[in-house]
Amino acid sequence: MSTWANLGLQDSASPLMEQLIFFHDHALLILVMITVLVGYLMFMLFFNNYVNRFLLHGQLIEMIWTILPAIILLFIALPSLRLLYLLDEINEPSVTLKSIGHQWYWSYEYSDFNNIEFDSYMIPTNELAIDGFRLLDVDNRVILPMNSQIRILVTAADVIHSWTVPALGVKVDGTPGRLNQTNFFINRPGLFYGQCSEICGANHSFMPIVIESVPVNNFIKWISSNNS
Amino acid sequence: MAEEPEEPGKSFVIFGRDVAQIPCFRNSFLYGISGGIGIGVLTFLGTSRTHLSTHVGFGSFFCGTIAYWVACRYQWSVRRFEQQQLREAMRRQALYEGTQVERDLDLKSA
Repeated sequence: MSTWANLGLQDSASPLMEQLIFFHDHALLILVMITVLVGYLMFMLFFNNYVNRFLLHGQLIEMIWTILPAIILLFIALPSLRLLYLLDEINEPSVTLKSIGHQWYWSYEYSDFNNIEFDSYMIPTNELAIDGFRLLDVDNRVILPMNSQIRILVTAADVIHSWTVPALGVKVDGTPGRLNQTNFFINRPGLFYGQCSEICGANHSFMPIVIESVPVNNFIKWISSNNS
Repeated sequence: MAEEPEEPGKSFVIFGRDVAQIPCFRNSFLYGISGGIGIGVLTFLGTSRTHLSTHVGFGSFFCGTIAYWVACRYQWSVRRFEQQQLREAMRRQALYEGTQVERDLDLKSA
């Protein structure tokens, strides 16, 4: 989860998020090297003694500083496209979760299993336990099995919301009258936090998402206990 | 029973991120910086031109770092993919051991 002054991406809980982090590291290194190069060129201007009042053009240098950036961009674009298509791969989800955004809470439905439905409200700060996370904890978490493909359908009942869990690399807009679908895979147990990511009114900042990832047996037990 | 001393893990934190844990990062910069300094010094020894040697050294650092990084990351990602395939194959082997599926697969590969 995010704490104050966090700058980087959160630790991944999904293979796709892991790949996104790898691509981020690759692109950032290239950008840092380009920045260092430009900084060096600017620094060297302090020590320049040459002036050419009749300079008009330089074909060779212009070819170099056109072709080299194109080559560098290739090294960024090819991994980017590979990841883009990887994110769209078709798989067979074992669980389907529906998430509906409201002002200002999320409601969830597990239609695969006897229509389990519940609302998920943020726990107000004055009711928060001493070890709770302010503005992040909710009363009912989303329980999902780990090591299983999960399909999520996101929509909204009033205005546009956005269902986000950074640790899983998931961000899906919930638009009224529309179902948006995405898949993800959680590869470790734990609690993963997110917050609504589309401005939706006064309490837009106060409708978080918490996923509790549990082993499959525990998930089945939870489903059974909710049925009874 | 004597306890083995733990090796201190290499750690280099920039803006909250331990960059030493990023695959290929440490080696890229070690080879890039040392190669840049080395080639810059050799250029100076050969030409006695300070500005040129600085430019050559920096250029070597830039090209060396990026080239090593790209090559190392590509090889790392290929190895990682093979490791994941192997892990999945071992999982499936444990799952199908002693079943008809395994016997059919053995017949196909025989």
